[in-house]
Amino acid sequence: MAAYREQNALTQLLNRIAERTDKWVLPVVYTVTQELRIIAMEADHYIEDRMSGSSASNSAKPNKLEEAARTINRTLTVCLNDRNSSMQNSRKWGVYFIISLLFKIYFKLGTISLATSVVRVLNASSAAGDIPSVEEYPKAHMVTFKYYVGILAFMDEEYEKAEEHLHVALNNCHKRATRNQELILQYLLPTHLLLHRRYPSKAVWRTFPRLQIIYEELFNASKRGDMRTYEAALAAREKLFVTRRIYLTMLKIRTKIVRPRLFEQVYLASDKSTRVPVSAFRKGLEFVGIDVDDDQVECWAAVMIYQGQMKGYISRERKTIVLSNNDPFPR
Amino acid sequence: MALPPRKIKLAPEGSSNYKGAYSVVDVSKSISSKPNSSSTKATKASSSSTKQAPMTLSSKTSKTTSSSAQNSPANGNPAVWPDSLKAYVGRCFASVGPSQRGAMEKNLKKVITSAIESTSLWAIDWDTRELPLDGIRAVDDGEDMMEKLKTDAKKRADAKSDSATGTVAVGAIRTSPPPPSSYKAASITFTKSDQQYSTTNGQASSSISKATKRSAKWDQRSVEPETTEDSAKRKKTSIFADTNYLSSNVEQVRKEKRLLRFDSPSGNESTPTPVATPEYVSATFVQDTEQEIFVGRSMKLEKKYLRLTSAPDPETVRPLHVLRQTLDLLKEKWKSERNYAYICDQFKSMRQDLTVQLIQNEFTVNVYEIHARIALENGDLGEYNQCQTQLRTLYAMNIAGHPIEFLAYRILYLLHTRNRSDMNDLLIELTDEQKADDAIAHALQVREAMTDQDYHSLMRLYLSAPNMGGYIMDSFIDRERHAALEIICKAFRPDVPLRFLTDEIGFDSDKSCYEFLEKHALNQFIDESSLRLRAKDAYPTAQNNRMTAFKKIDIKGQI
Repeated sequence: MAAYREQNALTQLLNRIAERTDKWVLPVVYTVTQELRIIAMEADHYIEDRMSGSSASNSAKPNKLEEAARTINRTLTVCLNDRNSSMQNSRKWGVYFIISLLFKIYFKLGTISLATSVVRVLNASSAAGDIPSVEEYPKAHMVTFKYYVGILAFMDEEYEKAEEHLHVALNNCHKRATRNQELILQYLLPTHLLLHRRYPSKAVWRTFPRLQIIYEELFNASKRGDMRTYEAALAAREKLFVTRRIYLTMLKIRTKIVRPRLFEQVYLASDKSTRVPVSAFRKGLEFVGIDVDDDQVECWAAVMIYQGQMKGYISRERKTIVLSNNDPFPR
Repeated sequence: MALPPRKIKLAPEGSSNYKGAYSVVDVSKSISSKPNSSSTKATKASSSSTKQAPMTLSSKTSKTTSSSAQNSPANGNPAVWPDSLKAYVGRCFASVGPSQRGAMEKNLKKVITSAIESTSLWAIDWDTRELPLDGIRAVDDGEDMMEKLKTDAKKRADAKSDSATGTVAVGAIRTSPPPPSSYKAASITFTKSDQQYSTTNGQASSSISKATKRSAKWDQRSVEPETTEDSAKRKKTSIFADTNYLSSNVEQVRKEKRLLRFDSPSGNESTPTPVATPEYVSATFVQDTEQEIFVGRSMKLEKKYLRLTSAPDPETVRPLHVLRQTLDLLKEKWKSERNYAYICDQFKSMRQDLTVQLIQNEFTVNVYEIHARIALENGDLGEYNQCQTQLRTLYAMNIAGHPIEFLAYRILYLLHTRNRSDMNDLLIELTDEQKADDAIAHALQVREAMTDQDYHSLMRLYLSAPNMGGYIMDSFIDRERHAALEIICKAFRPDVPLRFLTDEIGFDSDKSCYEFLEKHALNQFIDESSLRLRAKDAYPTAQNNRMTAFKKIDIKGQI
């Protein structure tokens, strides 16, 4: 606790000192802010332990990390608002490091909206040409930054953007930093699957066994259109996916990838006939444990046609789905 | 000299050094605990003087001259004060509540300073002099007052916010609040006389008579033998007071009201009635222990909503027990009249009263919940969202209510605003227990159906929404209908029956479905004889409709 107080005070002091210095101060700033974050988390743990030890009062929750975030946010402002004319010696070179640190804290705290607002501030100043583009920064800064921005886009279901950011992060990630690569891939793999129906190679599973545990079963089930296995595997990982904010995306994959595969299976089973009765699809769904009426099947089919996962049309009159002769389930 | 006496006191504010020497707290304490002391014993002299108050201005003038002849020994030496002035000052203090002593101080100061400057201190007949009541609440006190009032406005507001604490102190110590009926009577009197005072100078005489009435009443309780000790004290009071106090006409009305409230029916201060309604005690007495808690005194059940731009006035704020009655009344009115504009306005003012008094309990939750539901029923999502936001904080404080019901609404609301990151946050916090709840399960299914564009499921969920969820879904269902129509027009060939559309876009009759299509220019693609929609032809229009429908949504969900 005392350590936290001191460190916080130190950071605040440093903020003020840094205002009058230039780039050389950054390494100091990095160390101090980084330590502040760690000490703040320790302090919160400590408070939590002590609180659970005593009577469970609903008094002040541990909030040292929040406080630390505010201090560090001020550091960011100090870095951004360097009026020094020469970019070479500017404090602006510290911006991305500090932002990444803030992201870390905000994600930990679950205050994503704060993270988005930081991005907005940053976008404003980079649009004004106030700071060098992120590519000119040290790779470490860039990778962390791109990783978090990628996740933010991922959570907003802006998958194209997410893919772009995460790609940059992965490509610049240090070869031996497997843990970081794994974290990036954790979001990049489902993004790839959803956007391009692209599956990772066996090599990926070998390099990242943890990802294999999380994803392999799901991915294989989705490839086969095996809705039943997919559902079961998803349910087993629900908690994990929800806390990492991947769950909604996995649900999306279910409707956008798994279900069309299932329909494709039905089409293949009926000898690639271009006219498949709605009831056949219904039975296919029934087979994997999904019991719905024909109208629901038609609706799902309609959505697939609309989104381009299936080519053809539905004849309401004949209760038939007429599929295109040429590649009815495009890749 | 025939000017209304109030005008005389328009003097420079030079000698205001005694501010605070006589603290508000002291006064209220001494009033309440020792009926004999300070301002209450404003005395014998005043009791006789008030009887003379209704006399006309001209007679006053003559009297002034005579008194100046009688007793001007000190001849402008302010160290020696005429007894009648002391009495006058005492009367002034007695006429205002502890809340407005500060204001009274200032007024008095001006009056007396000007008297000294014009060396008329001994010439003025203080016994008949009208109390300097303006500047505190008198709003239309004459045109020449307007300028002054403007500058006074802020001071007034300050004084008023003080008054909350002051009154509470008095009430608490005496523990003698009267039954609500007398509250009501008081507030009615108040309003009436207030109107009187808001007339112009020309009607000064009527105001004076009114004032007399009030002083008479005030007098009733303060006629008490003056001890020597008291008179010494009073002297002190008046010395301080001469530079310090001011008041207003309306303030006297306030005083009257307060008297009605706190005095025993006999009007005798020394016999307090210790009957307190439990509600009252809980609302004022208990909270009295905490400083700066604001308790209103308005007894009116209904009140128009007005956005506060300054500190709240306790006279217009209703305390908890009144608000409870208000809620019952509003519920009745809503059932019988169903006038949303009125109800919404009333609820807003209620919420405001709760907020300024920092009342956060089950009743507060109840008010917000009811308002939220009524707002939903009327499609007022903006108002609903305000309630929702407050409710979240209140639920977080573990105040009983219907958190699950409103959590389900919130999910639906987030769907309406399409706020994905908040939805993610919300999902993380959901417990298994919450997910098992019907309403929440429903809301989550709605979410899924919407992201999947599964219009078939969505419309079924729409028609079977629990509680008031349907009302929130109303706000986005049209949007989803357009999306559904676009999909249908794209996927089905060659055409679809109207019957099918009715089912799939969630209408309860073909007629209302047709009306919807008509409104959005899709009916032209319906074949009149077979009642089928030509999907291919309709597609561009449907696509257009969908695009416009999804464009206009701002964060707050207000239209």
